[in-house]
Amino acid sequence: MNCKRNQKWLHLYREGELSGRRAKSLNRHIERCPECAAVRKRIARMEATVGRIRVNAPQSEHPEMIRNRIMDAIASLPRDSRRAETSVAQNDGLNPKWKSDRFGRFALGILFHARRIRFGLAIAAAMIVLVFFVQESMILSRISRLEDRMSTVAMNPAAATPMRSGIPLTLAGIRNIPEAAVGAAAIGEEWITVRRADIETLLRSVQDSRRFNALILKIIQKQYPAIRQLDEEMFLDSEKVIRLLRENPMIIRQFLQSSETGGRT
Amino acid sequence: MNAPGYELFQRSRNGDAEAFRRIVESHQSYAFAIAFRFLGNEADAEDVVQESFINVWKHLADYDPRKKFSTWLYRIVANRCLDCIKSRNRRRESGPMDPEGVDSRQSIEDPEKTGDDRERLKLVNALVRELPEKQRLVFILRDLQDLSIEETSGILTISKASVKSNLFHARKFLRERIEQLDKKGL
Repeated sequence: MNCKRNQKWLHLYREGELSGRRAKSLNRHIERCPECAAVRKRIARMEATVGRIRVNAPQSEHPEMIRNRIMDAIASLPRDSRRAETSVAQNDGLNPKWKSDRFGRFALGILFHARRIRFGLAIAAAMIVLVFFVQESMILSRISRLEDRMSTVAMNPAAATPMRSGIPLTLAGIRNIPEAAVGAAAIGEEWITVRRADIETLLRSVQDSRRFNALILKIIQKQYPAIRQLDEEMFLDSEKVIRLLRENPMIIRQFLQSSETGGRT
Repeated sequence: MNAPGYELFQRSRNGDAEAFRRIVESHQSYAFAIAFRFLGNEADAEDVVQESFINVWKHLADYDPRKKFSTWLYRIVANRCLDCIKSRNRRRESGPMDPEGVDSRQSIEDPEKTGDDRERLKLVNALVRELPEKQRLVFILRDLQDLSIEETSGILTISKASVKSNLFHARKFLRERIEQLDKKGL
């Protein structure tokens, strides 16, 4: 058993404060743990002091005088004063701050009873944040590498070399890429969103990913003669295709238009 | 704590001041003890008791006789104590210990106590008043006034878990401070 938690329970020593089962397990632990046994002795000394205060209840020195003041006060109240004010009975909260703090009281109970839950939640939250940042940084780093490569290729097409490490462009592959990576693209001053759904529509219309890549390559080469020498294999990297589509959403439009008319660019 | 008889209530509700005086007599000392232990000042505690019973008189018609009278009364007393602290804070008073308070009177009630013991109890009483308001009320009701967890929860309208949590923090604080006093040889 955990000593820190036990020492917390040791402070709830009076009748009705701990369940019988917990009290038994606590006693069993104390028999084996000298540290907790010492804490219990210290708590018992404190309780002895508190007990002496308990039995010496403070008494008013002039109770009769207070009673007379009360009786005088109620005698001087107008007849209709009873019930006339805001009801104390109805306002049975201790204090407005506490009354409204129902969630706080619930949370306090949870924190007291399950410190481990709090610890677990904190760890889970930290993990979620960590995973999010790692994922984001990986995406940004990939985009950055692709941007570098594309700019190199655009400036010097001869430098283009096929990238073979990419993920084959499939529906499943696209779905694994976060929506944020598909993102929005700026053309001049106009922002156009390229949605994952658009790309999925393209893929559905062309079942063969190689054929799809060839089509995209054809469109890009038509639009951008400077990157004519791009290798088709390069487009097997799905992220690169997405990057290109994101930067040039009209490619999708053209393709969709050509699909609607049944043609092939 | 026996609830006043049904007849006394009915008579009080009908405006019988003498019946109400008997209700006051039976609960006054307990109400005073809560207020004094919370506030540490006799004059303030007497004011709180007085205001509480006047409120009870005004609202007797709202009281549900199926519920425990003491729970209702002590809730009102606790409310008045908190109001008193607020009013003190507004006046920027620190709420000093009344030199004629409980600690000095313990010697009269228990003449066998030594001077050192009286001094120690006085210090512990002062420590109780260092507790945050909520913890202080819980500790006073449960540990000094000897009410059950259920009664304390009912008076303060907080959950039993919250009572235990506040109780734990209050006792831990007091234990640590009492141990510090012990180390200093007080």
